[in-house]
Amino acid sequence: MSRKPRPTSLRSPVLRFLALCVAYWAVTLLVLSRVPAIERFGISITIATVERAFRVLGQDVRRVGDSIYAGGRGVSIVSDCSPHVPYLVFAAVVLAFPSAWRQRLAGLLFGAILIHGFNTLRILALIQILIWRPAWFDFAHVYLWQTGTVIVLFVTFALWLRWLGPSARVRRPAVAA
Amino acid sequence: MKFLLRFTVWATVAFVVAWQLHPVWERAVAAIGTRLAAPAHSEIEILDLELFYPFDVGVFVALCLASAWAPRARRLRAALIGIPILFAVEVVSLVAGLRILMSSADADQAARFANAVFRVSGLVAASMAWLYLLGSERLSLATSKWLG
Repeated sequence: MSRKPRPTSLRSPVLRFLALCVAYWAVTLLVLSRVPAIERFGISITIATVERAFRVLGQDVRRVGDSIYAGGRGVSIVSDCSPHVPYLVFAAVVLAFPSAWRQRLAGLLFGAILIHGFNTLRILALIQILIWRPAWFDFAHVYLWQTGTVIVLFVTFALWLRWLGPSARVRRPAVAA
Repeated sequence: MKFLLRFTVWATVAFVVAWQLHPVWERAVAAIGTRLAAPAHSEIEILDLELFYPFDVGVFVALCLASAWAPRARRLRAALIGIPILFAVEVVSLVAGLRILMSSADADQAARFANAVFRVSGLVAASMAWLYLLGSERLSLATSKWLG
């Protein structure tokens, strides 16, 4: 009596990918909590970039500790304002995706630039909103952080996938979409 | 890029709905979470609450609705399956965060850990739930087609 081969589960490669994402993410959470220098670096680089961007735009800017003042308004740059947590989530996804290490490293570098760039624009926009439309600040703050960040992470990942091209596929039978 | 554009539009619409709902939703999550996390014969009183829930649910619903490759009924079914799962993830994240905050000897370290959990667990769960329920079909392509 011969046994029929069990059909490969369509979802198993995706489940493996998701499990790897969760594992990497758990590791980054542990590292983040134990190494405060990561958070400190994220805040410092955010402040430095926003300050530089204001100067390039020709707007008066003043830095006091972790706060930035422009147009008579000030914002305090805290951990939530830094892109390090979204970047680490993105990094977990890139590392978990089946591809060559060279491609992963390129993705990590590309993601770092894009996510940091978006975060800088986000803070610049929020400060302008605080100056010109302070009543809109809370709404814009949460929208740009929650929805905006997810959109940027998806776009960055999708662009990286496009760059990978057809050679990078999750190893599973084709599915009609 | 069609999928990403659809997602952006739906995410914006869902955000506005979530913005209206978030005070009630956060209180509901907090009420359940604090009850589960509180040590025996005691209770946790929350004075200030900023969990960014249910914006993660809004992102998930937007991802489902933007998945035009699936029939509408399947997209709605996925959204209906995912919403209670994400609510449960939110409660579990809150309970885990509170327990870590209460039990850790190093308050700064615990705060960093709990903050990171609160900040991204919902959004990560939303993306993963969508990927499992609908997005896996597109992930398998992993080509330019993914972008529409």
